[in-house]
Order: sequence, then structure tokens, then C-alpha cells
Amino acid sequence: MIQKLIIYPDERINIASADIRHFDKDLDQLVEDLKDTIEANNAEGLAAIQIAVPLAVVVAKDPNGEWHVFFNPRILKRAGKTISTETSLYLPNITEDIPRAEQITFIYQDRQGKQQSMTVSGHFSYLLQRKFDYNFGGTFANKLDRDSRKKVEKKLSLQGNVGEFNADSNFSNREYFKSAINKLLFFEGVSLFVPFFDVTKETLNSWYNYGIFATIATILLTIGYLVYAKWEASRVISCTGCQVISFTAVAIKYFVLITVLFLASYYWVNPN
Amino acid sequence: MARLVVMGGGVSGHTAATFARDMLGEDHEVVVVTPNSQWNWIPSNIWVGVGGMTKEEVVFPLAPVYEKAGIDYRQAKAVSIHPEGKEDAETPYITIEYTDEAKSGETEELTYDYLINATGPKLNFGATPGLGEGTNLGEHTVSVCTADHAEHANHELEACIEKMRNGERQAFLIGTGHGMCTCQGAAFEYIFNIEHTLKEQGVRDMADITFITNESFLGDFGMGGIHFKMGGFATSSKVFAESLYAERGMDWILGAHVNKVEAGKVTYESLDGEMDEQEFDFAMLIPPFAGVGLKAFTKDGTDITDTIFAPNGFMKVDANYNAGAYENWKASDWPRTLQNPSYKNVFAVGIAFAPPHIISKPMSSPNGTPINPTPPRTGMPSAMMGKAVALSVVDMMKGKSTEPTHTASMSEMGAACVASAGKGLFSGTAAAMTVYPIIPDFEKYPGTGRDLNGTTGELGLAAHWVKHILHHIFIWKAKLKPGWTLIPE
Repeated sequence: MIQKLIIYPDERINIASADIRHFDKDLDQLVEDLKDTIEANNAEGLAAIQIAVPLAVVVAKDPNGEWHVFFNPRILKRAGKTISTETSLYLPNITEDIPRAEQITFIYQDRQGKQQSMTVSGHFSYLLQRKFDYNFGGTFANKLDRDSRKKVEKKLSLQGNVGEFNADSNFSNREYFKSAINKLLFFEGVSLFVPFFDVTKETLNSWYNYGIFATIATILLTIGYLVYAKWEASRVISCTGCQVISFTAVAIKYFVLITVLFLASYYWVNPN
Repeated sequence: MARLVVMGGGVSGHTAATFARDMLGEDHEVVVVTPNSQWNWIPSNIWVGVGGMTKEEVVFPLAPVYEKAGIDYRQAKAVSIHPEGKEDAETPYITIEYTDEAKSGETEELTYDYLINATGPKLNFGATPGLGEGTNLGEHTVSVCTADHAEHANHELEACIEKMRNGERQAFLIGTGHGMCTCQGAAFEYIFNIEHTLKEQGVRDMADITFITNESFLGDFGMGGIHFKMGGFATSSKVFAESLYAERGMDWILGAHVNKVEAGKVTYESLDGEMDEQEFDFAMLIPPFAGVGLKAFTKDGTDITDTIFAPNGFMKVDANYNAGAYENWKASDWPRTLQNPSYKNVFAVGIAFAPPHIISKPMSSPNGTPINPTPPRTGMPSAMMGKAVALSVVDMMKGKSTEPTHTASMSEMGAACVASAGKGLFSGTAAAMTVYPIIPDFEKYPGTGRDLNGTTGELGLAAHWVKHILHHIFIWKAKLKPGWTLIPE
């Protein structure tokens, strides 16, 4: 049966697919669905996550039109470096140059769960590298640098697919605290440049007052961040030490930054 | 008065002994038997191995700490366990052999009421021909498993740097020295520190750096991979690790069982059954771990080592050792109380307990050679187990319970991996990755078996500071300085 494809900006594509543990009859239906969906979309291959099934299964057609089904594939060896011009069903109408290995050797399990290995090169190799990446939650956007990713985001948004690659289903609410602190401190940082311009004492005073406000607000937010992060970590049984130290380190970094910015503001922006 | 004997003074043993001592009061006795005179904060050995720290910064003498705490410290190695005592005395005992200079070679019988086995691993260099003999590191490679090894690794690294300065190209090979190794995280961290150091020394362009591992994908870490957040991205440890290696121009060899080490060359078998070779000028290869080789005997002297210990030498605890094939594995196979099923006053923690099975997907080459990471149970999980068992034993010694009162199952426990590159306060970077639970629970979390909301991470300078803070805070804790009980595991 033809299944609906996951299309950008659907975040489920980031899910790391689970290895197949039971080689039971359900897999036959999944493989048939993948083949039908490939044919319907005039494609060459699909990873199961592309039809929203988070299992490590890839179905692909080789250049001779022969079907291959790979369960739990792992690329073992890569040889030669090349640039492959690729498209992806996840990213409609996007074509990008992606660095790939010319030849790969990989292991996988067949329909009976028996381990096999295969070496492929050229176009089929690039296709499989792209499909196998999906199993681990990676699209070809992961292979692009930040600027190229932004350009792809822009192109997609012009097609009506508005989103961003850094959308994150695993987002912690404590990031909101960091985001607010960053914004407040950014403008306090901006205030340090104000004395370079010919501005009135009142203007300087206003910026300095903002600095005081930002200092108090960010201290409170950092304390809030710590309290929230501790509460969040406590929800996960037994996972304490490094979590606590991790967000404590973030808080210390902020306290240092807040202090430095405030001192700079006090001695440099303060008109009094 | 009852006596608790803790065999081993590493992360789990030290944690168990010190917490037990703290809670037992003066009425009971705590004895630690460990062949080492010094405690080593092993994660920082990585920095010793690249000259970022001295050996003295990562070790401290145990005797004064135990003296202050009121712990009876014997610098000795445990040789055998006699859980039923002997014919004329039913009190269980262990035999120990002293390793300190004054009493070296002397043996003694040490009775116990409760016994915690925290003997850690035997560094089984002898498992790979050429990697070493028995527990001794061979001449061709280096290691960062102990502070002394790390110091030696740094000397070898310095020699390579000197050669590169003189225009001689050097090949670096970092990774696992056998198909059944654990601790890929240490090798992962070390390779990034090597790369960072070479860059700082201005010789990076003269080095070819390759990672060799028994993992079937980069970022498996013996846990079947981690799915975590990086810079706002939900990403898997595979995608993350591959991009880090690629950015730094480092190559990798996957699914490799190193089966022979010679001067300047390793031979390895791949998961696809092929044999291959890799040349090196500098190689840091982690050895596989095994139990320390303790024996066990009944009252009449019958050898019951096979009853108490698994074939790999690790002690059996309350785990399901009959889980069968991969598809049948469950999180509940993993032990909760760490109590030995045959002798209820005996526990095993840290690396010393026998895991019911591996965590990653089991794999072997077409030739039948198993090539997969074995379960990591060092660091934080180790300390958590040590503390939980100490609390149980304290309750049992005080007569509050006849059964263990605390549990520490790796299937209900998260783990953190802080991988840093560089040591400078403002120049390094690191990734702090957490995973929950360590053992995938396929029933509770269908699919990957992991709770994605329990995985978080910090990347960059803050995470780098985590590593610094961990170093100082855990050494502070291990020295039992003020407030040590408040510091989390």
C-alpha cells in the first residue's frame, strides 16, 4: 500500500530508527509498503522512517532495476571521496552537492535475519549512504554547512514548506531561560557601544538603567534556570551528577558574563 | 560488631566503603582491600596522556584518607573468597596477599560479615597477541587505562611530535585493541585530545589520525548509540561523531577485531569477514576487560568459582543470565540489588558484576568472531551502584532489614559522557551527552528503548568546563573533604 511520505519540516525524520529485533511477518507488509511508495513517487529507494516507521529498514532499486532490502545496515568501509548531486523526497525540489564516499562496504541482515555484506560504488552507493543516514536520524542537510542549510531552508520556505532544520522535538524548556538571558545580555552588550556616539547624558542614563535592569533580570533568570533544570533532572531517576554539573557550569558561565557586562556598563556607560 | 569488607578501591569500591563508613557509626567495621596505594580519577588520565596534566594531579594516596575516615585499609589484592568459612569456623573470609613494600607477598585470611566485590577489571592485554602479556602493556602500543600508562603515552606522543617537527610524517591509531572491548568513550575522547594537541603544537599537517573500533557505527559507545541534542539539533551520536571526525580530517575503521599487534602494524578482522592491516607510529589501543581472577571455595575446599562467577570472571548477581537471543532481551534482565544469588551477604558493583548480556546489537563476523562492544559500567553508574549497595548493606548490618533495601539498575539509570578536546579554560570544547536509560527498555520506550526527553546535552565551552569541574569536584569528594556526601555521583 502506498504510504504518505514524511516531508520537511516534519521533525519525525530526526528519530533514530530502532534495529529490527524480530524478523516476523509484519516486516513483509512494511517492505511491500516501501516498494509501493517508491514506485508511486518514481523514486529509487526509501528508508522506513520516510514513511513514519522508525525501524532500520531500507528498500532500494539498483541501477539494473533489481530490488534490495536491507535490515539494520551499517556502513563498515568507505573508499574514495566524491561530490554527489542529490535530491531527497524529504526535501522537495531541492538539489544539493553532497560529499560522499565513492565506494562503500556495508553489512546488513537479510529477510531471515542472517548477516550479509555488500560492496557498492557510484550512484547506488550514494543512494544507500543517503538512505542509511536516515536510519540514524540524519538527512543530507546534516552534511551541509550552516550557510548552505540556511539557503535550503529559504528555498523550502518559498515553496510553502516553512520550517527550520534546527527544530527539535527533544527541546528542553530550560532553553527558554537561556534564550531570554542571551537576548537581554546581547542588548546590554550593545549598550557598551553607545558612548562612542555623540549622545546626551539622558540617553546614556537610559542605556545604563537598561543595563541595571538586564543585570537583575538575567540574575533572576539564571537562578530560575538552575531551579528549573534541577527539577527537570530530578524527573529522570538516578540521572543526577553530570546533569547537575552540566547546568551549573552553564549558570556559572552566565554569572561571569553578567558580572563582566555590568562592570563594563558601570564604568563605561554610566554617565554619573 | 559486624565487619564489611570491600574488595577494590576504585570509583565503586571507594564510594561504597566511604558511604558505609559514614553511615555505620562506630559500632561496625569497614575494611578496604585494594592492591593500589593511590586513588586515580581515571577520566582525567586522558589529559595526562597528552601532557595536559601530570600524573600527580590525577592521583592521591589512599592511606591518609582512610585513616581519617576510620576505614581499615589493607594494601593487598584479594585472592579467594570462602563464603562458608572453613571446617572449624563458619565465619566467611577472603584470603588476601599484601602488595605494599613492607608486607609484600604476605597472605592473610580476613573474615567478613558482608562483602562487596568492587575489584574492577583485569586489563586483559594478553587477549590480543602483541598487545601485551596478561595484564601488562606490550611494547608496541600505549594505553591510558592507568595514570602510569597515560604518563608513558604522553612520553611516546612527545617523541612523535619531535619527529614531526623534524619533517617525519607520523600515523596515529587510536581505538580498541580487541573485538570485545568496552570504554570506546575513552578512546573517542583521547583521539580528539591527540588531534587538539597536535594542532596546538603546529604539527597537525604531519599526522594521519585513524580511529579503529569494534563498534558497528561511530557513536555506538557500547550502548547502541545515543540520541541527544546538540546546538538545538536533535541528533544521533552517529551523525554527531561522523561530523566531528570529518571536520577534523580523521579517518575511522569500524567493526574491527584487532587480532594481532606487531611493531608498527595491527592486523584486524572486519565484521564482513575480511582481514586487513593498519600501520601506525603511535597506537593507543584499549584492552578488553576480564574479571580479576578471584577463586571461590566451599567449607570443604570445593572450587565453586563457576557458581559464583560468570565465565568471564565477573561475579554473578541478581541478573537474568538466561535471557537468550537478542530479540528476547529485556531491561528487567539487568540486576537491581547487585546481590549474589548464592550468598546473600555478598554483592558486586561497578565493572566487577557480570552483566546479563551486552547492550549494543550483538554482531559477529562470518568467521564466527564476535565483534561488538561490551557494556560500559564505569564512572557514574559505577558510583551509583556502590552507593546503593552501601546503603543496603548498612541497613542489613544495622538489622533494619534482611533483604537489600536499595537498588541501582542500569535500566533505570541515566549515564553521562563528557568528551572533551583540549584542556585550556578558554580554548577547549566538549560535548556532554546524557542517555536515559543506559539499558534500552523496549517495553517502556518502544523503538529505540530510550526516553528521548531524558537525553540532553551541552556542547562547547560550558560542557568543557563540566569536565574541569568533574575533575576537581570528584577528587574533592574522594578525599572526603567537607561536604563530600552532598556531591552527587
